[in-house]
Amino acid sequence: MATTERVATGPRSPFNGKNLAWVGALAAVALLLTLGIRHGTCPSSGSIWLSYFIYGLRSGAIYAMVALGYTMVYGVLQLLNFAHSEVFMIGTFAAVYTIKKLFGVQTNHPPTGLTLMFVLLVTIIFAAAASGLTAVVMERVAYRPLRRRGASRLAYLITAIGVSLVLSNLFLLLDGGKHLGIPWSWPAIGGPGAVNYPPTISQDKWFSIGGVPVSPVTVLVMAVAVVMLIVLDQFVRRTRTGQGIRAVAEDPETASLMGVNVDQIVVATFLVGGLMAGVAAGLFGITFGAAQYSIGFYPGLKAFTAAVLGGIGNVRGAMLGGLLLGLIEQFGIACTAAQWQNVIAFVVLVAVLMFRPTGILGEQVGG
Amino acid sequence: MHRKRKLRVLGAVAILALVAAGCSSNNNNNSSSSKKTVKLAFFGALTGSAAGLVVPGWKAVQLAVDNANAGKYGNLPVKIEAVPEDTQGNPTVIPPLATKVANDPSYVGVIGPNFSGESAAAGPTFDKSGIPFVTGSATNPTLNANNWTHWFRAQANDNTQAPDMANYIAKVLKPNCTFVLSDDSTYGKGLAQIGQSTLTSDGVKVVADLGAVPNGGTGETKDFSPYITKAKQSGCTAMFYGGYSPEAGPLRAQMNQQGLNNMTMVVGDGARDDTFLSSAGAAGNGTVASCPCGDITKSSDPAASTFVSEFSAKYGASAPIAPYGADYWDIAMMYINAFKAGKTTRADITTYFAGLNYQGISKHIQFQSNGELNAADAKIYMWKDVDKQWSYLGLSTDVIPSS
Repeated sequence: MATTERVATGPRSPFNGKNLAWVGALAAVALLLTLGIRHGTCPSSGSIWLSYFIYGLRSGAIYAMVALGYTMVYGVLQLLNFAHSEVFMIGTFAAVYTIKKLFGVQTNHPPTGLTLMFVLLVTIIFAAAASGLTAVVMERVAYRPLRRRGASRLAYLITAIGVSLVLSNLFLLLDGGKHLGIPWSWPAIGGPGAVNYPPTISQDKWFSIGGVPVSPVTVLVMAVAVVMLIVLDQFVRRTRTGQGIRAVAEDPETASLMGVNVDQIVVATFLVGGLMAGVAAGLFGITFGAAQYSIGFYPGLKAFTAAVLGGIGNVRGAMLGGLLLGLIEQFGIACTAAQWQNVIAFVVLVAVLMFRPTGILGEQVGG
Repeated sequence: MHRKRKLRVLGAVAILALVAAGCSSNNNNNSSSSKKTVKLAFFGALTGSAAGLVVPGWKAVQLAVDNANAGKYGNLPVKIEAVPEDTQGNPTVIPPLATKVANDPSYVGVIGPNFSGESAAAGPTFDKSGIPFVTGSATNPTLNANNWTHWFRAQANDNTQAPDMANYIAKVLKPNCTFVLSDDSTYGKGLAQIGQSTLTSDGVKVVADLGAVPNGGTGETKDFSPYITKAKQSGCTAMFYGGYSPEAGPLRAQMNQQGLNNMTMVVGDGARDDTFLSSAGAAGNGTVASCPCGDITKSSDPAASTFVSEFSAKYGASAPIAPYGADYWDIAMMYINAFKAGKTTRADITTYFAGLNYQGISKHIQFQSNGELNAADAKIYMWKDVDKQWSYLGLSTDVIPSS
């Protein structure tokens, strides 16, 4: 509704200040690129650009799925759930456990064919379940008591950071504390450091697009991500729970007067965010082959950034933000040194927020 | 409400009881002897991704201390307690741990810190408190410029290591050009900087990307595709990587997945461990690592063989001793010898180390006035990943042709 109002009151001309700024920025980027390629600082080979594009989309798809958890919880509770990165981390452990312990996959005997499909499916489901459960327990143990007491937003934030630190350090000890005399540890899934995934789906070239090797795992990540993002989008738009989530995000008091059970909706929000993070975690673990206490840090940070970029609280915004951030990160370094990766990504974020303080798609849940 | 409050009180009491139980169990292992107990703190990444580099050293220290307390090295005037201080390989974790040890007079010495970044972060605290601190694996050369009077490095530094890596590339691999990549750690970036300048003076064309991989040593970076595309862009057939195994291993694996099989990777001691082997997998084959650490199992010194057999007996035959088990064993023995000579205070031990002339199992140890190992004792060894094992190539001077 807000959109129509804005259009009605704002200037109708496509050449208003904001649009001109966007066009100007794009033109500047295009000019710099042309100069860069001429000068030899930017790659002139199409296959290098394509490589940045494909890997950018792959990491962007993961960011997008994780970003949904941040954005939905923010939409409903105005809480920046920094512990969401640990929801993701637990998903990577659940996935490696499933592959190693439940299926007993050995390093030298990766499953093939239908068995492989089954292993991947169950692994991703288990990872999603573990992450979803973690998110729900987190809400019940850490956030609901605060909500009952009407705690300030700052208290939520500190709690979130605390939960995040506690969980990651707990996993650090479980994972690698044996030689420090810590009595409990993971039953033999690895030594200190990262727990490596046994090989499942092939990481080697399946086919190539314009000279860039594409592996089955890359295809898997993209395919699952697309399906999950569409399913989630439809869930938020079309189901009763989805409506409830949007209603609570809009105005929790009115929603509860209308008969929406806010507690249930909050749990559902955490659950859905956790499930998505778990799917992302399973894919991430299978792609990069490791589960580790600190594994959630970067995907978490990037997903949070993606959520802000797309418009925090906005489901489609998080998806768009994730994909964009993945691409920006890769393309940003094409003409510079790789150490500028994060600088460029965050400069773009700041620049976008200067023109659109609420992110690309604005703040509404459900877009 | 009442019941809830009761439960809460009960919970609090239970937690207190647990804490109390934990504290009291710590006191149980006081020995019955009347000997004074002195503490040695071992600083390193005992948990986390980089632990594979550090745990062998900690195991060696424990072994030496257990032997000493059991009277294997004669009657010591003190009982030694080795205390692990887990830095997680993160320079921001170490300051409070360092302050705790520095301010507690029962600690008379520090073994470590294992990495360069954490050494730089904790050094001022240790040095001010007068506690001797001896590293066997922090190799960044700039550490000696701090003028710490209580700091010793019983190891070659990267002014020897990085040129050897670069010379190996220039004289053995002879690539068309070399892509130099590093993480942002004190160690990794320093190593790559020195390597880059040696490569250039060797006449090798260099495409450099220093400090690119964030939070080196933590293993937090999992997706290396941007760096790999960057490496592809360079078109080089050799890569000099300055950094630790938690990044180097996955990087190597992903390079092959993304079609960069023909780029040979040369890494330093920070990536020469089992973590690299397992995370790089088959893609690691052919990777060359330099290390100030040699192959102790090949030593003809009887003391070294005793160490190897005791280590295997205690920790199992498959427990890796390399990279730095033997080197930290020597440092522990330096402390034990100091105690044997009646030096049991921080000041006395520091003076003892400054005048040390000791034949260890890993090397001969004698320090220069700035705390560095004597140049003649600073040696670099070359290793190669062959079928997921580090295979020993030999002393760098034997492996790399001089011209």
